Amino acid sequence: MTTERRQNESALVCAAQRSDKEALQRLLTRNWPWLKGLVYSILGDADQVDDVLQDICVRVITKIDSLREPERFRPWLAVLARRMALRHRQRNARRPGLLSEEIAELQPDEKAQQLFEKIEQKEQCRRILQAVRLLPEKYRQVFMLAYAGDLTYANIAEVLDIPVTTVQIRLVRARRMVYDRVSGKKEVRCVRNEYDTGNA
Amino acid sequence: MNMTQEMLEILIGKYLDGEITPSEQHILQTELDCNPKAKELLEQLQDLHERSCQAVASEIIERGKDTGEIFEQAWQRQAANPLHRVLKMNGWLRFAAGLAAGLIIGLMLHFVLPLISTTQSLDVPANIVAKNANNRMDAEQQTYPQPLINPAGNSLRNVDWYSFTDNQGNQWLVEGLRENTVRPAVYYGDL
Repeated sequence: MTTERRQNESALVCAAQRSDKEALQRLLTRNWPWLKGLVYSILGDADQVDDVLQDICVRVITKIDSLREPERFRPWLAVLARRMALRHRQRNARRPGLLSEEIAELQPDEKAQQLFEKIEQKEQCRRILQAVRLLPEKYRQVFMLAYAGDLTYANIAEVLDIPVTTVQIRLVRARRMVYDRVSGKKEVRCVRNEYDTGNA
Repeated sequence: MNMTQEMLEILIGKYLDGEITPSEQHILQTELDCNPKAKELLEQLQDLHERSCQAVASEIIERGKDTGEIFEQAWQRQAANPLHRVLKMNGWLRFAAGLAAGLIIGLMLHFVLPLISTTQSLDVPANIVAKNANNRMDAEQQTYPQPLINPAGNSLRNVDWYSFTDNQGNQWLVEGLRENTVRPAVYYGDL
């Protein structure tokens, strides 16, 4: 299945290199969700994502013929997207997760656990996203690719050019960090400690 | 079975992401059956997983412009830029353009460089001896530069020698310095 998908994608890349507009659009549409997730993981601001995606599209249209290995389209696109997003972030001089307000909001207080039960779904989502923004970049990228791109571990590894085991470990740690932040750094730790004690 | 915390979280993560193999699922199930804390951890991470899916979907996937719209705008942007069209030229066309540019530059250099060198050579002052058309020696009126070298020591000097006969029939041997100055070197009355 994966081989078939890859062959299909390679064929689309070859067509796109011959300035086939439809092939190029299909190629980008297929990879759109994870591309969006990757750009978001770098910018940390959903409002700026579309602008960067348009720049990426222009770049892909002009540079697709320089891609020598069509089967390596995804890693190539990921590198290009990351570079464009980083440039955009530098230009706007706004780094995600560095706002003191955001950090202050995430500081756990004594009532956090009680309030956690009552907050609405929207508020929960907001907290999760803030926690994701505060993750170190390498964890944030894996987390976003897994959730926004709906990619398998193998696909994430291909896009980021890292081993599959690294993807697994980063994702586990990212989840743990997000959970710790959202829940006030108590619940998972607590259970984990008890669990470790029980096992020991 | 003694399983580390991270190992358990990896197995739960694989289970949540649909990446767990049957053998791994068996190991996880055994752990969940014998340890209630593991089950509690699974519930917590499952809850987080579901909420994360919702959060990411609402924030990213369901927001923003349509893919086709963004692509169309990007296509128009690159089509409007003439530089992009130049960059999109195929290899042979680029090679031909480079060759033509090289030829033009080569021809320009071929014709312009000799002109520049001719102009520079005209600026060189004529030899003082050649200027002395009426065969007069005005050396006595000149102030000669002092030699920079110690006269007692050996020295090497780049000079040209000229033979000269004045109006009275005296013969002169003239030392012409390469620095375009002229000074009498030797005079012999009966020469």
